[in-house]
Amino acid sequence: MKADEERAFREFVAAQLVPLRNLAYVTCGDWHTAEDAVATALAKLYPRWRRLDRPDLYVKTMVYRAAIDETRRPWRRERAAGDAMPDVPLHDPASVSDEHLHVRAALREVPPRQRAALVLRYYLGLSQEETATVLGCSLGTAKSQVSRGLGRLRDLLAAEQIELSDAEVCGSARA
Amino acid sequence: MHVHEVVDVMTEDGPPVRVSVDDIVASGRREQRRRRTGFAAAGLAMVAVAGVAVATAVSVPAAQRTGTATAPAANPPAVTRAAAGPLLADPFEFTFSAYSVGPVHVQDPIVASNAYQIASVLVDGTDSRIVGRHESLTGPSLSARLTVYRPGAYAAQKLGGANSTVAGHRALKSERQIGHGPSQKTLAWEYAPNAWAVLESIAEQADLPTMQQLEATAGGLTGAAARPAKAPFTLSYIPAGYQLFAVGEQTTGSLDGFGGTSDTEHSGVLFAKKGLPKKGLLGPYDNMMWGAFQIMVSEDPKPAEPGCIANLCSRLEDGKVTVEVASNAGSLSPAEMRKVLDGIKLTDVRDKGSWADIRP
Repeated sequence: MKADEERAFREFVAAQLVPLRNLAYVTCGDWHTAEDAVATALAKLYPRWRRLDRPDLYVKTMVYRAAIDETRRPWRRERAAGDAMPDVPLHDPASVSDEHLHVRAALREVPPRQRAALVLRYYLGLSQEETATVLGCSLGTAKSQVSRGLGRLRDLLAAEQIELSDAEVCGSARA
Repeated sequence: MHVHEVVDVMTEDGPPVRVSVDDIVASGRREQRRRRTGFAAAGLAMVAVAGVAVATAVSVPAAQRTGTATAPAANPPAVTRAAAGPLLADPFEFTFSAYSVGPVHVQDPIVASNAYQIASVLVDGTDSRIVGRHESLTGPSLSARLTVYRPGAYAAQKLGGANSTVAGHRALKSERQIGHGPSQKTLAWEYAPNAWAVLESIAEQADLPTMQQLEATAGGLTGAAARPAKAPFTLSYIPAGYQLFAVGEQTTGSLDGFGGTSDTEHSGVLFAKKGLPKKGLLGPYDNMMWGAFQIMVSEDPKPAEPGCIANLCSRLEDGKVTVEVASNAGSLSPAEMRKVLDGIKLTDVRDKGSWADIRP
């Protein structure tokens, strides 16, 4: 890899590392697994860097697939609690507000694939088509995943008197 | 509240990122070097045997079948080697050999772990090389491999494929399109009670290979005389808490079996912390590399400067053979990496008869 290409790769990694780790974590529910998935995907991206038109989609696909696979692996469940997000807070629970605890509990109740779809669409800002590419499904299925995830999250938050943005709910319905 | 705020709440108290940009670049370089040298060597081998390959598509010697396969097959599928022994293997053992069924060429296995052995798979009319901007592929891209799991290791029930039969054995098969991209096929069959073998392909062109070709290839798998996976070195020091994890012959890097062998990447051996599962797997240990350390023995026309930088310690022997100890995500301290490196004693990398059985 030429120096300017490696510089661009480094900038890409520096910018993507945390958002990708968040995508993986929200999908699989384990920080260590999430970081493993991201680090492995980015290392595999390196030799492919020059020939990919959309390295961002490539690496998101790799990370998503690794994270969703982890939710299916029985030995990971020992620490990842399977499809659910971990119930045990990593830091002092006293520092977390009740609302945040309710929000986390609500997101834990959304199925992993729908969680990933929501992150891709509304956190990482992908289009419906790009979301479908990363999820490895048809456009219709991707829309369905986003819509169902959004609906589930809205209902769960509503039960805790937390309102999800109308703009996103309506946007999903239109898509 | 917006969805992105929900995600922020969920991720706001995550632990500090352990891996650095330097770690990822170092690991990426190792992956690139493994693939480039592997494919380059394979390309040269194929130039030498291209005429033979076209004329004898159903009976190609295993030694000549490394790397890309660009010649279309003219003959109907036929199994080219007879049964030579059972497939069931002990840890870090190879129990099958290269064979061809029509246009599909299973290579000699090159990776062995405590739970499986892996061989690359090539298909005529495809090209598996990673090429630069000024090069072009000679056919549709393909990544394919055969993984033979030890009893109980593979979680077939998690595959979710359609029921089928391969040579009288229970089988599962699945096909799907990855977004708008490549076609992914998986064929798993129970070659012995509770022991599964899995053919996987990720192909740019959906019918290269077809599921029927994979099924015919699966039917051709037979055992060969068992042999241990070996390395061109012995070692006197393994850090506490680590154990042998996977052995790669003529390959280094992620040891996932894709891409074939290399003439210059002699050996890649992974060690990981004890307690890794040997059952319930859905694939090789790929994503669990992080946190492990790897010993690599290779020859590079432009070897790295001996010494320790970042997470890599290396030395040069006879002015041409590079011995490296790579610690992923800082799993080993520089002092530990140096101690492992100093405890490595090379055999003759070019003479496989001198290679050592490093099984615990």
